[in-house]
Amino acid sequence: MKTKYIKNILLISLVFLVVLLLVRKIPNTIEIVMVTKGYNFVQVERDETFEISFFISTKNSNFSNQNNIKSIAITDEINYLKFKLEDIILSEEKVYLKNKWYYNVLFSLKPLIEVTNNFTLEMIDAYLEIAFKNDSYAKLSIGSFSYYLFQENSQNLSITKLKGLVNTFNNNKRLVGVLIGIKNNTNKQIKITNIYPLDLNIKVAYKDIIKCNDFIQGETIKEILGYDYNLFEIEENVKLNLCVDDEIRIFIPLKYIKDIVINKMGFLIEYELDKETFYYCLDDFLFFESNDYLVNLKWLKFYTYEDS
Amino acid sequence: MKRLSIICLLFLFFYSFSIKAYTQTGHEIFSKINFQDEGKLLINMTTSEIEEGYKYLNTPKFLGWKHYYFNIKEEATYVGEVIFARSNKTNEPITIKYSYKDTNSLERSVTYSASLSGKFKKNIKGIDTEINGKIDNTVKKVTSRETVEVTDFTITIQPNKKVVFRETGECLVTNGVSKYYFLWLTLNKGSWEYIDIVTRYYELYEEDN
Repeated sequence: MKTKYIKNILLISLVFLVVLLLVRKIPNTIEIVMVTKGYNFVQVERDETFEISFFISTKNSNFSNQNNIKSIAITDEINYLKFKLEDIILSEEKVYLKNKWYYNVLFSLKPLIEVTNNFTLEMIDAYLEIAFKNDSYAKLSIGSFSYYLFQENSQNLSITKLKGLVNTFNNNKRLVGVLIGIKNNTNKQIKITNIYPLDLNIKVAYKDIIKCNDFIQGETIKEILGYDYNLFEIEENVKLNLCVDDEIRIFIPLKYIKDIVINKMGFLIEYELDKETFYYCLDDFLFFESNDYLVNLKWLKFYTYEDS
Repeated sequence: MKRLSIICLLFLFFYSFSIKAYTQTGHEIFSKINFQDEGKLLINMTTSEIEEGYKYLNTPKFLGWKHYYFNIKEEATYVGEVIFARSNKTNEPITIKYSYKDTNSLERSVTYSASLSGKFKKNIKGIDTEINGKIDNTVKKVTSRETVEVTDFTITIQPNKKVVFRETGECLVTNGVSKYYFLWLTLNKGSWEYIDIVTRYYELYEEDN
């Protein structure tokens, strides 16, 4: 009688265990690949969005379902910038990285920030922090992040040409300089005193700025300047004094504070008119697109996430 | 006579649908292609040059495709389409915002002669495999990728000016001729060409209206 009783208990326990195992959702391990680069976002209109893309090994997961995401932020050790997730774009085609196939996911984000004046936030070592509704979260390295909010722009200047010079450096395409056409819309002389690249990793080499009407993509910066150019040697205490009566086209060589890939960037032009200082903000412009960074594992960070 | 007119009209109707938009390159998305070294697009080849290619495929096969390549992943630069152009015909500056979304779905542009059916597009994958065996891995790695890029850009257009946003870039051109054999008989043949975009460059310029 006692043996039968124990047998029944064991049988019920076994059935219960089997049912529990069947009902319980087995967590699915997802591999995530982040492309670390110099991300920057210039917001001159409040409805502009910031896009960040990464790769996931499974098409259907918490990362690709907007309803499963509670909040998104870009953070470092000190700063925290919260975003509203506007959209998720999942690519149908797969990408082969380090012996595995991945899907490309793009998050379209809008900063949740209430400020009335101009605002700057720069993070040299930034992370994309995603909190899911199931209380799990992912903290993924993205490289650096620079955010600039400019809410007024003067009409004294306008842009007539914008083109980036891309050279290959360490087997990767790099934006090494930018050709900008600047038009003076006033009948007085404008003096440009500073050109600030809107990415924390980039500086403008003022002493190497030259007048240049155009260049052919494929030319090297050495061919354009006529001498060897070091991408990482930062110059100090060089002042810019560029007079614009009507229109000028200048080639501005860029310097990198650290070795990083940047393909999109804006500029802030500081100028004097009637001894008064003004600013013109050039929105972030996509200068080039290349997938060659996917070949170089140096820029990729691999993560795993238990999707449940 | 009436019947003849109807036939003529019908002919014109169907003929008009078979006319393809003329492009200098044979590919709608490229207005100009320049090879870095030697290379020729199909559109620039003479009939005899193409016929020369078929001569290499004259040994019959029991079953399947045979390909001859004029160019294999030949490096070139291209001038692409105008992505965006906007005029300001008013007397006041206007500020516009454009949003550009590129899923790189046009990363590969394919064209083939009419004698090859639309199904031949699937055979391009077979050609890829064959080609990848012929060339080193570095080229293989940069093709057939899809990523998504979206960008917003705000710009002010001055009165009586036009702003143009244009794409140029680097690409790899592969072209050739193919024959399909069944029981040593040629069932289908034709020329084809595909172009892989490697890098896209974007430029913005202002011009007079």
